Amino acid sequence: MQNAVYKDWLYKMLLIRAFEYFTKGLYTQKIVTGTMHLAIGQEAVAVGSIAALKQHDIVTASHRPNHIMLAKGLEPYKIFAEILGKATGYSAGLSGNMHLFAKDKGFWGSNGIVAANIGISTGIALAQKLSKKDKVVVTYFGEGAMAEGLFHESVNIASLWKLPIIYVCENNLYAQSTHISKELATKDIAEGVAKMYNIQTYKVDGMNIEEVYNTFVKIRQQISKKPQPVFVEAQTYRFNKHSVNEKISDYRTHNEISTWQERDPIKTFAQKLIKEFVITKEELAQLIQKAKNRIEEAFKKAYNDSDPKLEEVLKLWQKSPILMQ
Amino acid sequence: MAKITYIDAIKQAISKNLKTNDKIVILGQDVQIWGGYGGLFKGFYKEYANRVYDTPISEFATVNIAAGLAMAGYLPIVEVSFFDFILYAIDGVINQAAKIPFLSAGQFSTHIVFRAVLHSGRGYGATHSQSLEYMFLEVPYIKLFYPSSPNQAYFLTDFALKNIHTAPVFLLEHKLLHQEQEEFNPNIELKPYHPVQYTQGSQLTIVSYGRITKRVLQALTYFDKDTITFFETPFLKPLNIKPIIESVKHTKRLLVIEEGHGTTAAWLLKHIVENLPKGVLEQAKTLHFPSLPHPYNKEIENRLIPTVERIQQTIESLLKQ
Repeated sequence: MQNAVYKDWLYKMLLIRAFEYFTKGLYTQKIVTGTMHLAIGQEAVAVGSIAALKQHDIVTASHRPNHIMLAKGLEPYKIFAEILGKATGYSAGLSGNMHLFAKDKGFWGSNGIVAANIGISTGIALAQKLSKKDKVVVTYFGEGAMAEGLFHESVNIASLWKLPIIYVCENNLYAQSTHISKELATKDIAEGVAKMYNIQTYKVDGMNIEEVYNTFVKIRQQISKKPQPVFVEAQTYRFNKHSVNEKISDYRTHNEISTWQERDPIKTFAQKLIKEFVITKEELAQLIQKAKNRIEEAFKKAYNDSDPKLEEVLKLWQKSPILMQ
Repeated sequence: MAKITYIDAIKQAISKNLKTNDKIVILGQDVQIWGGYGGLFKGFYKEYANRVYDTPISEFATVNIAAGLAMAGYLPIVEVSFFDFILYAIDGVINQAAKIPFLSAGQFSTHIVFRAVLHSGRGYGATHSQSLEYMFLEVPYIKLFYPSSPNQAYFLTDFALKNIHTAPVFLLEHKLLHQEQEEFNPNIELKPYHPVQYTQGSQLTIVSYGRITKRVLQALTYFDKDTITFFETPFLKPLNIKPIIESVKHTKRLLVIEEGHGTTAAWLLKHIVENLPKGVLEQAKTLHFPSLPHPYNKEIENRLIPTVERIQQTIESLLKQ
């Protein structure tokens, strides 16, 4: 039983990584335009935390949302369709992956504006409190968002009003090119937030899926018993550049990157499962291939879909500026 | 029928809707005890304790929280207080609340009512006196309502709270109208999104809205009845401008007057003028506050807002030409 769960986690992380690498290729080959923020290296945070939630819990993400969306169970095909601007995408090709909504899946939006979803999610959490449901809202953001006033206003209010929300800071050390030491005055994010806002905070190794999962199981139970906001700092690292458009990574050393890569959440977890005879090397290779195939198939299916029709888009507009009859 | 003030009319409409719609939640600074600006919400906290929230001085979070509440099916009324304070929360309004219905391809609605009070003409100085409605004119989906009388205030508040909107609605009030009184007529019907026509004339068409409506009506008493057609736009956006266009076709002259810095007047002018047939328009003018911050000195400030006298002079000069 437990082994099946571990295999599922591993597969989900592999699927995310396959998705991210494939998507990166779409940009370098100029098949798609705009920008894309990849989360290669941050997979364990998404899969480990969401595995500990209830199916009906609501999740939101930032401009770096792909790992969160896939961990929440969104279909790669419909995400690709959105990235390709197709009518079959989650947001009908109108929004791209930075503003993707899948309400039925409990994914209430990624967001192109840093920290915006921290505020919106606090409001969604107030709605859960008002309707007295055991539903928790979980919002993911980078440590760069913690320098925004909206983060502080929102956490303060969530604490005052005892809202059922988990603020998950994926601390990957860099806001674009700026190191955390130049962004945040506190030396200890979790401690700083706990003291200032009088809420429970946790620090987890974001490269260790079991630690992430166990921490979130505990937090989830705690909120069910007594609705309250919780802050989690997941220490992680993005192996890739900030966005696909970044030309050179001149703000980090190769040494730093390779040190973190040794802690690769997928590699270390897979090695552990092999060592503990949960899976064989062959099975791992098969899982990797299965993930890659699924992503390629999803892309191929989305690629042939139709674009949204201009007339349909303009229908959405007509309600807007000045009415003419 | 009894008389009612402008602010009480708004209160009555909110009270009526609180009773029938349990999804309405009031959020903002000092709403529980003081009832927000002018005591609008006073008493609601006693009756609906879990639906009235005092927020810290956190405009940005308040607006984003309202967006989240609306996504989850609630109808937040946000106490903005001084309209100027919305500037702290502008990303929440323009990038979030106004865009979510579109970006989610209709999966979410963000019907929020923002209650904002305008203060020009009260000596409140540069950061407490602006008419910022212009900022939202070209933001898709946002609606702007601005009543000039108690009965209009009742109707527009009630209309803003109906479950027919999918995005933010701004309900703009002028502090100097709060104590205006008239016979209360809760059955008043404004035709949605249409201008209100006060007079019918053949020489000039005037368009205005909000507090300036009163000044235009005063100025009109100096002219013959059949000279001027006057439209007020309590529905500022969206707005059916067809009646105005039809009027200008006959009068050939157009004057748009506003209390703020002129962008709204220019916007109205643009939409009217570009829909006129070739060769019709002989004169078009806007009257508004000059391009200056609002001076603190109340007397000077009041001379810079279109006065009855300036409106009258402008009409005279347009009629001469």
